[in-house]
Amino acid sequence: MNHTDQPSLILCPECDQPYKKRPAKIDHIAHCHRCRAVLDHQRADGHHTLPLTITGIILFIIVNLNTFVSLNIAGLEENFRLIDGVYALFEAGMWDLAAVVFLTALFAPAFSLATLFYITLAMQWRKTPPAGRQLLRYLKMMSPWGMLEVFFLGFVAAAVKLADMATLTLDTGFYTFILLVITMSWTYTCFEWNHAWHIMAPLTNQNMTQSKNR
Amino acid sequence: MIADSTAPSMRSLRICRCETCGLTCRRLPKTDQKQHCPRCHTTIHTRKPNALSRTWALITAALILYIPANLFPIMTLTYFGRTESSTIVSGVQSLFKAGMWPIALIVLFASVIVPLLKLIVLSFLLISIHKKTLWRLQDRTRLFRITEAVGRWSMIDIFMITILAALVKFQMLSTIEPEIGASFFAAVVILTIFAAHTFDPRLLWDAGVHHEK
Repeated sequence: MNHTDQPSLILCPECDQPYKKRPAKIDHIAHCHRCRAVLDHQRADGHHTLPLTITGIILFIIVNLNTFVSLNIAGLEENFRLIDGVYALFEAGMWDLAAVVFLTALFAPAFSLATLFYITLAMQWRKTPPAGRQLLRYLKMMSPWGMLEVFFLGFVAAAVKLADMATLTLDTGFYTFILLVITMSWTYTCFEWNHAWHIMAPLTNQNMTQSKNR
Repeated sequence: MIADSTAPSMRSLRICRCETCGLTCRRLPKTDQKQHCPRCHTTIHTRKPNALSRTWALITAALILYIPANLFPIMTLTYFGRTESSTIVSGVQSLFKAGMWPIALIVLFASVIVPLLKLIVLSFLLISIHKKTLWRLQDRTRLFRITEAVGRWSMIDIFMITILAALVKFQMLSTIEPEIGASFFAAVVILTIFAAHTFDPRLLWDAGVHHEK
């Protein structure tokens, strides 16, 4: 298995059209001529990723420690944190739903944030960290499963449904959650995958010979 | 717009793109061993393996589960003695009746229309590959892109039930309990997400390469 003869070749991920790599223009989006897929997008704010990741981690911890909303029916009050949602499903016997919600609303975002932190820190120091390659792979696999923005809309739907039968009070957790969702979306937009691969798994001649003999 | 069919395709040259890290690689001639990307060590394929059969299988499974997902109730609401089980569609109906149009529309779109649309679109794309048609290639690719992006939003209903079940636990006064329909529905959403993932849009464009032969 060897690197292609033209290392500056890029293939469109959706239609396989080959392109010669050109020096990237900042904040320009490169589109495939045939199918308009996004080939590359160099951003000017790549260095924002590390502080955003740290912010995301802090917000995530705050969100999970605080209650989202308080529901008041005829004097009785109930409130919940994210974990309580998972636990309620588990209690009701729907452990498969509990697992899915745990994955998409808790585990995937937490894992992505932690891995992003480790990777962006390494990118900042321009050093290849241990297990960098595997972690970047896991990040690539795990990130589509973080669905906090969808959770937010689900929450709005639930709140609307509850509004006419009870009194709803929005707590700290809710406002922090909005900030968390914004922060995470922003982090993903800024994160430079190509640069990350370059640091986590630098291609050297030694690499390539090793893969040949694999 | 169609690629010059006399030029060698990247596939015939065994040049391919690593799915995980995007590196352009060249596969060695067919060996028994799996080949790996020099950069990220994931297995390299020129096209997603068994893309057509896997996607068909996942779509079929999702279609089968779509029926119980809509027939069985997704939650039961007990409100001051009255019990009311609602399915996805009846849940949307009650939101409309209560006058909450924006949310009703969002839930209707995300939980009823989107999964069905995903299944229809993916089936359409698969059939168009089988027929080797060249009809509106760019539009079909764009259609796939949208289908893939929109999939996750169907989870809105699942999260809504989670929150309701966690909050409304007032024993005698009012409780909300999730029902089995929700499990079926979550399965449908996840299966459609996987189906969009196993599908390879490059197969749409492969039809153009072989067409002139």
